[in-house]
This record gives sequence, structure tokens and C-alpha cells, in this order.
Amino acid sequence: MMEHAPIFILLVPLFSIPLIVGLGLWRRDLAYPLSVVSAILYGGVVLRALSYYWAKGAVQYSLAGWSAPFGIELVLDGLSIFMLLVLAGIFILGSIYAGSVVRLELPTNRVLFFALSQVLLLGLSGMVLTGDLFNLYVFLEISSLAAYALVAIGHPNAALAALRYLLLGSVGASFYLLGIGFVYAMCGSLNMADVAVRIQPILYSAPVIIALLLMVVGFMVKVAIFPLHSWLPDAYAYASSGATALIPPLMTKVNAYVLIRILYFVFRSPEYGPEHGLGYGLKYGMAPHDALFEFIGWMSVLSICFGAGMAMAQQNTKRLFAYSSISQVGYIGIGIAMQHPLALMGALLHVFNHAVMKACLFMVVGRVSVKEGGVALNNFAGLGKRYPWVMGAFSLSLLSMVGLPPLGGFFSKWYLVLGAIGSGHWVWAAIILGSSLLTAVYAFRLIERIYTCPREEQGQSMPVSHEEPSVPALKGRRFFNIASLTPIAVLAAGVILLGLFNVHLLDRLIRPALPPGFQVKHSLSDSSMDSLKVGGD
Amino acid sequence: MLLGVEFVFFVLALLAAVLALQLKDLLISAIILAVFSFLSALLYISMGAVDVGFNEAVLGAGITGIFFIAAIYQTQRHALRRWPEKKKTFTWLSYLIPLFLLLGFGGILMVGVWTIALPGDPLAPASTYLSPDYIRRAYSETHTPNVVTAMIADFRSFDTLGEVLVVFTAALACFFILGGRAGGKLVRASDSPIIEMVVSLMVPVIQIFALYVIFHGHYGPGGGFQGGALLAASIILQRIFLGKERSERNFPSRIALPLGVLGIVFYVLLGVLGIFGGKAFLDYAGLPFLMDTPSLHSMGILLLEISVALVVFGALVSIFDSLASEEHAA
Amino acid sequence: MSILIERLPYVCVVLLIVVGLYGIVIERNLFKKVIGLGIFQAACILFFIVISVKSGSSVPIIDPSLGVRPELYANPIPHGLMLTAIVVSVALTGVALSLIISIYRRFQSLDEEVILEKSQ
Repeated sequence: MMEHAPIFILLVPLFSIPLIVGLGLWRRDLAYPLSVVSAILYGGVVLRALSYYWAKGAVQYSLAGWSAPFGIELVLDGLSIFMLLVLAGIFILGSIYAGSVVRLELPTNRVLFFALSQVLLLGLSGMVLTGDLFNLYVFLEISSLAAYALVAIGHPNAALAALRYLLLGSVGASFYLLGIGFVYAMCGSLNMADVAVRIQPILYSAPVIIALLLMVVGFMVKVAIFPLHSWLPDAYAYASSGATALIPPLMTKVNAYVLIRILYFVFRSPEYGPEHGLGYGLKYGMAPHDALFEFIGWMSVLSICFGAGMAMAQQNTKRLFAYSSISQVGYIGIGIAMQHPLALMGALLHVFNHAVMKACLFMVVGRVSVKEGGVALNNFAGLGKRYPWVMGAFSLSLLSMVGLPPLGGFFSKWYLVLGAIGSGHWVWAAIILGSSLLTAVYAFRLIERIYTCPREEQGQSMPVSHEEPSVPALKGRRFFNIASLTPIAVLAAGVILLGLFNVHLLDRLIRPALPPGFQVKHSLSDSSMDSLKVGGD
Repeated sequence: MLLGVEFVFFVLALLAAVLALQLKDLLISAIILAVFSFLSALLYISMGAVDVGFNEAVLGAGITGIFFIAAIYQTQRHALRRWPEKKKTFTWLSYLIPLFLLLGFGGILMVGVWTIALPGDPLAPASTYLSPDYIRRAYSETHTPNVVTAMIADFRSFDTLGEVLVVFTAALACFFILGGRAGGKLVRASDSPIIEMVVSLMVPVIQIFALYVIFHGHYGPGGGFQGGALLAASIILQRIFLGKERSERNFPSRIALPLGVLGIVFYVLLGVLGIFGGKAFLDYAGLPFLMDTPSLHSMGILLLEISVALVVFGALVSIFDSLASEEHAA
Repeated sequence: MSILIERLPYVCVVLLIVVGLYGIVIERNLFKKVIGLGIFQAACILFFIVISVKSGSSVPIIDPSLGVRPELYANPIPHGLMLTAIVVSVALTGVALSLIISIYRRFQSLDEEVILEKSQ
């Protein structure tokens, strides 16, 4: 039965979308519970698929009975199951959380919010599961449309932010489509595995390089790597709190996953193989593609620094975390760019870490936004004393972003640095380490604001900001109710657990996710320098 | 390969594109964009892509055009002067850099198109790998002469599911952003009895043609998308010229989105029937009818096209209703 | 010169892409940006269709009297893909237009600079 696993995963949102729309139009209150049940069911199917994957290996599912490359196939391999787990976890928690804010922020639009969030889940899952280049484009547009819509309501400026997101995002997606056109013109196939084989003889020809460039630039827009990030700050700052619990943790990550697929699985170099094992300090020699990887790497470096720098200057917490997202996604980008297995592992670990951290942060901020009417830094003043546990979780996530051991964020940076050293990118290693200081600046600024200046002592000197209300402040409601507390607590626990159990996570989930032939020689618990050597197992 | 008429279409399309961006009157811009779409459709047809041309003509020129007009009616008709009133320093620089990047990008694309196969080359990789299989097997496996229909409704039917979801999501999004019941000056009944009579005669003819297009998609250009869009166009025509009240009696706004939902449910159920029949999702060989396999495929394709038409119909009418809706109390 | 004529369809596609991108990036009016997006996407679709042309071939609808020799029919794969792409383009345009209406209701303007000033 579970050989149908890939389609079962997609069938959950495929059924829940019409169900939520249909039943929601009849009774509005059904939308939220349906959404949560659907997310939990989705998580269950993903877990079942994970155990099936561990038992039987990768699954290739030919849709409509036509096997690839004639038809479209879904592929459940290590990388996709890893991304699906991240999606499932964040979605379950995000859906539970959304109930606590959506009713207050979008009283008339609840049903459509939950329906659109299920569409987002469907689109992102489809992107992860598909094994066909054009099918990826279709699901990319599904998830993007849902995201544009979810961002569009919230703050009064949200619609313009959504329109700019739409314009820039569609340009990026169309670049990817053009890239598909060139690939198809050169090799006649659309299936990822098939293209990977057929493109090998012409890997260095001009149209293929241009195709790769188009695809990469298209997804750099979607991942918000500098300088194609300009849609992100406004979109995340003005979106509703329900949307910011779902979109920032997930959208850029899944699009980064696509970058990994394109760069390491489809346009893979013939030199990623055990017979071409690279030693300590050597770089790959793939001429034009090398330059592309370096380009991605340097753009990611700019993202890291620009994001952290801008975050330091922000007064609005949501916008601060938007820039922080740009910075953190830069780490994922730099991990992809190093062409070293340890760096790729660090990037994937950071995908998980950042999704968990950002979700927790945005959830807390969202609830503050709904209760206080604004998210200026001063709205957070003194909250540490009033809500010690929640603000503790908040601070924990911030510290993980800075990279403090034994929290999760430290380990992703650790593997990124190991990968940088192993591939000879000394400058990048230094930047990864140094940028933690930049992150620390804005993180500690926020932490300080939480735990000092209790509200009663403020008087006139520090006015609380109400100039950007997303919803009129609601007095008398609890700051954090069950629906918002539970996900925040789980995510905070996740931050700690990801740190403590990172070796298990890496061994069981992330190493199988690496491209074939792109493995680390020794097991990761062996911390000697030997582990920096790469090659087949 | 380039006949004279295609060259004319190319030049006209380029002119139309540039013109649409330059004009100050937004309504005329939108109409020129529709002209551009129509010229594109002619280009596609002259290059042998009749299904695509049909689709572009209905969806690009027709539906997109009316969406633009509806939006312009709700906002304003004229654009501002191009240059800002107060000249900031280095305004010209902020135009120069993007222009430079654009030209660079165009140059890269030129290099790309110079090195791929010539247009029309029968030995190009795209024409010798995989696509000959589609042409050879379409009729024998599915009894559908229209290879494109066989492809999108059978071989690559999952793509079509995605596409149907895209248009449905757009309807959800527009409803989310704007609300749903058409009102306002665009959908006021026309004063002229001539228009009223002509439109009320046209609408049923369009609808019958649309049904023909849906069911005939196996044998000629057409199919669910084109037919569904034509149905939507007929309803939109009603809304605009016969007025909101009369059109609402015929096709109320509130059933547009549920109709789309119904289409999606049919599509997914069609796929799940394949699983129940012991095969893969959307595999028509698993359908519970007593026919030989190619006829099963043909029947499956027909059912799929009908559900596609339902979704496209409902979603496009819903989008129009949202675009033409009056501002509800926020 | 004959090379230019041979590759003229591609050249036209690239020109349209540049025109479309120009509209999105440089035009200030929101409607013009969406028009630019539409032109850009139409150009991408045209690219795929130009790839699918085969000299001397006809539409990809099997004529039983001619048989199923592939060189007689145009490449159907890009046709199918572009059917999808057209619908995606219409969907995006619809959502973009709703956003423009929503923006106009709040800011009473369609000019990006004016709106950005008002939203500070």
C-alpha cells in the first residue's frame, strides 16, 4: 500500500482544500479544526513514508501509469523525505498557532486563509516530491500564488508588498521556465534523472550553462539572496501574523532545496564520485560551473552581512526578523556554494534549524503584534518579566540563531565552517564565524529589551509604538493562549533537541539526503581532521 | 522556415508590446495588450501550435483583457506623467543601471539562442528524443488523434492537475483579497436594447460552442481549458452587458467558487479511482468500466477534460466577480 | 544576414523578453508593470513554441491517412507545457490585478513612487 506513499502525501492537502472551502462556506468555524486535522494527518503520512523509505529505500512513483521519461514521476529519496519532515513539523505547529491569531486579524477571511495555507502546503510538497522539471514549475507557481495571497492581507501596506513579491517572484519563476526551455532544446527530456544523464556530454556548452544560470538566478530570487531579496523585508513585515508563522520558515527553504536539486542532482558534475575523491584543501575543477558556485557563494556572503547589518538598524521587530531571515538564508546559500559534503550537510541542518527558530520567533512576535497593536522594539519592553517562559523560548531561539552551543544553530555553523575549511574557502569560513557577532548584536539588543525597562517605569521617555497597528489592540485577552503557547513550546524544545541530537539527525536523515557519490568518508562522531576528506563510503 | 506572414506578426507583436507600455491611457493600453495576445495566438497557430493558439486567444486576449478592463474601471484610467515632478539628483542613473542590466541579460539570451538548434531543424534533440514516442503512441494507447490532448490529459495529467490548482488558487486569492460579489458600474445593464438583444442571443451560442470545444478536444484543437474559458467568457459577457441583476439570476456569484471546488474533487476522485483499480494515481487503466484499455484511456481523458472545464469555468467567473466587486466595509 | 533571418524567431523572442522586463522594472505605473509581466511571460511561451517547430510539419493531430511518422507533426511536448504556462500567466495576472485594486482603494494612486511615499 505504501508504495503509493508519494501520492498519499499529496492527497492529504488535495482533499483538505476542497473540504475546507466547501465546508467553510457553510460553517466558518470548521475551517480551523479541519486545517489542524489535515496538517496532523499529513504529518502522519510523512512519518509512515519515512519508515517505508528506511525499510525499502527510495521510491519512484510513476503517475498515470506512464513511467519516466514518458510520464511524470514523483521521487521520494533522502533529500525529499527530509524536506517533507521539515514541512510537516512546521505546518502542524503553524496551523495550530494560526488559529490563535487569524480569528483576530482576519475575522471575515478565516476560511480562505486556512484553505490558502493548505494550498501552500500542497505546492511546497509537490515541489519537493516531483521528479520532473516542468512539474516543479507548476507546483512552484501554486505555492507562490498561495504565498502572494497570504501576504496580501494584514497591515495596510501589505497589498503593495504582495504585489512587489508577485512581480519579482514571477520574474524569477519565468527565468526558471526559460531555463527549462533551453534544457529541453538541448536534450529533449524533462525528467530530472533523465536530464542528468543526457546532459552530461554537453554539460559545458553555452546553452546549458545559460540554462543553469537562468535557473539559478530564478531561484536566487525566490530564496531572496542579495541582491534579489528586495521583496522580502516588506512582505514579511506587513503580512499577517498567521502568514508569518508559515511563510518565512518554509518558502525560502523549499526553494533552496530546489537549488540543491538543480546544482547537485540534475546538472551534477561527473567529478562527484568516489573515484574522484577530493583531498583536504582541494577544490573541484569544473570550469564554468565553478564560477557559478563561487558567484552563489559570494552573493550569499553579501546576504549574510547585508541581512545582519540591516537587522541591527531596525526598530520594527517583524522587519528585523525579515532581514535576519535574509541573513540566515545566506548561510544555507553559502553551504550550497562550497561543493563540499560537510558544507551541504551544514546547509541542510540549517534548513531545519532556521525553520524551527524562525517559526518560534515569528509566532511570539505575531502574538505580541495582535495583543499590543504593534511590533516596535519598545512593545517588547519588559515582557521578559511578565511572561518568563515564553520570552525564555524567544531568547533561546535568538541565541540559537547567534550560534551558541549546545543549541541547534551552533552545529549548522560548525559544519559549514568545517566544509569551508575542507574546500579551501578560508575567507568564507572567517565570514561565517565573524557574522555570528553581527547576529549577536541584534539578538542581544532584543533580549536586553525584553528583560529590562519594565513597562511601569517608562513614563514619557520611551513611548510604546502604536503607529503601525496590524489590528486594534485587544485588551483583556490573554497574551498567549493554548493555541499559541503549545507550538512555541514545542519549537523551543526543538531548538534544544536539534542541538543535542544533531549527530543522530545528521546520520539518519541528512547523510542519506546527500547526492550520490557525495559522501563523507568517516562517520561524524569521528571528529578528527580525517572527516574533512571526501569521497564515497 | 520563416514565411512572410509570420515575420509580419512578429513585428506587429513587438510594436504592440512597446506601445502597450508607452501609452498614458490605461484602457487603451489594456486593449493593445489584448491585441498583442491575439497576435501571439496567430503566431502560435502559424507555427503549428493550434491548441496553444486557441488557448492564448481565449485566455490571453479575451479573459486577461476583460480582467484588465474590470480592474481599470475600479481604479483610474490615466497614468501619471513618467518623470517625477521634482527631479531628484541622479534620477537618470537609477534608470541607467537597470537598462544596462537588461541589455546585458538580452545579450546573454542572444548567445543562448545562437547556439541551440535552428528553428525548424528536424534533427534537434527536442524533436528526436521522446516527442516522436508521443506522436507514435498517442493514438494507439488512447484513441485520441489530438496528441496534445492525449499528453496533457493522460501522459502528463499530473501537470494538468497542478495547472487546475493554479487557476483555482488564483480564484481563492482574488476572493481573499477583494471579496466576491460583482457590483458597481462595470456590471450595470446596458441602456441600448440592441446590445441587450445581441448579447442575449450570443451567450447561448457561445456556450454551445464551448461545450462542443470541450467534447471535441480529442479530435481537434480544444479541450477543457479552452471550453471552460469560453463558458466563463459567456457569463462575463452577461454580467457586463445584461447587468448584474439579470446575470445573477442566471448564474449567481456564489456558485462560481463551489463549481471550481466540484471540478477539483472530480479530478482528484478520477485519480483515486485509478488507485482503487490497483494501478497508480490517474492511471486510467484502473477505471471501473468494461472497455479495452485504449478506450478506457479515451474515456478517462474525456472525464478529465470535463473536470478541467468545470474548474476553469468556476475559477475564472469567480476571479471576474472579485475584480468587479464593490468595496465592502473593511 | 541570412543567419539573422534563420534565427529571427529567436531574436524576436529575446526582444520581447527585454521589452517585458523593461516594463516590469522601469515603469512606475502598477498596471504597466503587470502588462510588462504579461509580455515577458508571453515571450517565454513563444520561445517554447519556436523550439517545437519542425520544417514541413503540420499540427500535432494525427491524420489517419498520413500515419504516425513523427517528422510529419510538430513537437507536441512544448505545446502541452505551454497550455499550462498560459493558464498560469492568466492566474498571476488575475491576482496581480486584484492586488492593484486593493492598493488603489487604500492609496488612491497607481504610481509606485507616490504609493511608497504615502506608505512611509
